[in-house]
Amino acid sequence: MILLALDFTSASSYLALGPSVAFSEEIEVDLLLQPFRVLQLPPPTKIRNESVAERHQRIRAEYRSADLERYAEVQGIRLEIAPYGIDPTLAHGALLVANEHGVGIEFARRVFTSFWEGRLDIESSTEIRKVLEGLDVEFNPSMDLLHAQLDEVRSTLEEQEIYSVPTFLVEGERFIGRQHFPMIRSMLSVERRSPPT
Amino acid sequence: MNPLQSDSRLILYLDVKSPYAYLAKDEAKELERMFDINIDWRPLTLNIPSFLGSARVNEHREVVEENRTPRQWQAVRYAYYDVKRYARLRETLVYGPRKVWDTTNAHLGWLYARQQSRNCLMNYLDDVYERFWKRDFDPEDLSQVESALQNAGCETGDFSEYAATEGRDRLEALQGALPEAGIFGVPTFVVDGEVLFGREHLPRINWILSGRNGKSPDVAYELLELTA
Repeated sequence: MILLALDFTSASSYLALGPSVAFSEEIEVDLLLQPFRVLQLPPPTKIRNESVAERHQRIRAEYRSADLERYAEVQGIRLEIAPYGIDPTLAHGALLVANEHGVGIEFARRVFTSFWEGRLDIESSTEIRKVLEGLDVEFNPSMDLLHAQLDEVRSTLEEQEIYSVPTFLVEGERFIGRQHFPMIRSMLSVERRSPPT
Repeated sequence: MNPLQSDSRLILYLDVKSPYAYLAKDEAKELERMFDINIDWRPLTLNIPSFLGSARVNEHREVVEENRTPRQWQAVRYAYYDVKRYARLRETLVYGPRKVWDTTNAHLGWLYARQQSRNCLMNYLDDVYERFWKRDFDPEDLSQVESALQNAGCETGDFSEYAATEGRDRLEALQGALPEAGIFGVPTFVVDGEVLFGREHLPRINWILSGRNGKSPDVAYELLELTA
């Protein structure tokens, strides 16, 4: 199984979803999506008397934004919102519920698309409930329970030294970013070829 | 030197102290072979403490000095974990450095070799990268840089003077111009004016150099069969 840790407010998580689903289907390995919140900070702006570190962070952020746009265009997806200050807790909890019903991937696909096109308020329980209802799943969350479940998932992922998204966990090995598919493919195919011991 | 312009179609910025740049170097050489082009190889001296903090370890790999946040430590540890697994595929040795090096002097040697000949430069880069990552080359020591130039078959007659004057001015001017050109890290590729940071863009670069036929590929660390 391939575990993918993602955050609905992360554009790079969104960009990873489609290729990850295609990749898991291609190699016939299950894909499990797990929520992992990573604080999204607004990109720094140019200030007077900018330090070397501040300039580096600004230019890196500008590049990163342009890079996300470049590959979003390749994938034909739209990144139309600024996700800063948006709390994905509810949507992340709903992803766990969707996973329990075997519709986690479709739920994530719908949430990512609607959210990044500015059509879904992921902090609204009414709107998240609608997404799940569209997948024939009921959602009446107890926020305490939801937080507890998310904390447990996070602790498990942090024990695996996951700290960023999107991160893939395959056979206990971490891979940050979708660029690692060739190595994951190679790793899994070698394992398949190995004789049983 | 304009950071985004060159007689070559592809510019590549590397730093001797970056393991990601080390991995990119040989993949880029493969591009040269595949497309029969000459890359314009340029140095970018990273100021690592400004974005990843700094640390020094002793010979027992114990941290004896540090100025890093937990998040920076996670990023650094992951970076080496990641680089080493790709290096292993190529049977390339990558030992973690014991401190954050200043590679200015090694990069002065780079510019000096670059103005002589392509062979001199490529021999120099192959030599210093391999030895640095085996902890067998001190990039801060000008005498070791000069020896590396000699090993690479370069003339070194006025290297000391170049390193103190013209070379230093050229390197500083280039480093000063990079940030506002949007270049901040290594490896950075500039192809047809497009800036691409990281070797995960090699599929796109390949696509651009091939004439942009069809849809651009996604990012990938391709497992290339490297020629010797």
